[in-house]
Amino acid sequence: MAEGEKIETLVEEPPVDLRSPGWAALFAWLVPGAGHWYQRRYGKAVLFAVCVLGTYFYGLAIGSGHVVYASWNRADFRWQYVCQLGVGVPAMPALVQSRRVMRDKEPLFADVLAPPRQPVRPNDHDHLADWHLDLSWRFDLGTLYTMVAGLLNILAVFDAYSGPFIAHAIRAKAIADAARERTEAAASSAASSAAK
Amino acid sequence: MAVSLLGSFFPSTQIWHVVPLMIAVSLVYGATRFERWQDILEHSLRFAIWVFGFLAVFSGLLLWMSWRL
Repeated sequence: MAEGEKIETLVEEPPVDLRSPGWAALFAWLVPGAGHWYQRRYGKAVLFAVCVLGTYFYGLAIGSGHVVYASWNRADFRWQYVCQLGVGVPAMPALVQSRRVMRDKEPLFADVLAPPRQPVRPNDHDHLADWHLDLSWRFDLGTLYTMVAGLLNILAVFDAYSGPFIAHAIRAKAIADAARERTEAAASSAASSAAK
Repeated sequence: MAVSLLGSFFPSTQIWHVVPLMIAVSLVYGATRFERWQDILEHSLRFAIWVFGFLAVFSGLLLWMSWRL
């Protein structure tokens, strides 16, 4: 394919109206797909919502609702929650649950998204150990799924903020190359006509 | 023996969880790189084939190593 044809094809791509990129990124983080819906990119909005939320809730279901929780104490520092928080609102109830548990209140929604209660005395129940025992590999798999969902939504947030990565980069490079070639050709023809 | 090795290496309930995950990752990754559906789907398909191929080769390697040990 000739260079000109390639540029033409790339320029023919539908222009992306990002509207207000900052707001779109915020919406995209809070609810997967919402930022793209706000930008009227409805197809992508549905794709991100289905893929990200589907992955998140699938992981949550595999882990019986225990794989997403916020816990920052030394005994159980749940760094995975930082990744899971990438899905926005669906992971936020874990913050409320964590606060309730820290204040010695009963968590809501039958322990879903609640951190495990740490044993105080040697014979106390260790909830985290119980979850690992009951769920076995499902605990790790559910954690992985929900983490991946959060990280995928971060990609979607970038897409809402600045548009698709490669297509724009290629198009910008192609346009810049074409402009440079035109300038060089004009300079060359001017030099040859001056020589005559 | 090969069947029992395969059975122990690919527990039927676990390995299949990779399929929906890879589909979701491929589609989202493709969608963040392109705007047109044709480009997104083509890129997603290529990405999924590459990842599944990598997993298959790596799994085969591990299977071969476990067989030899």
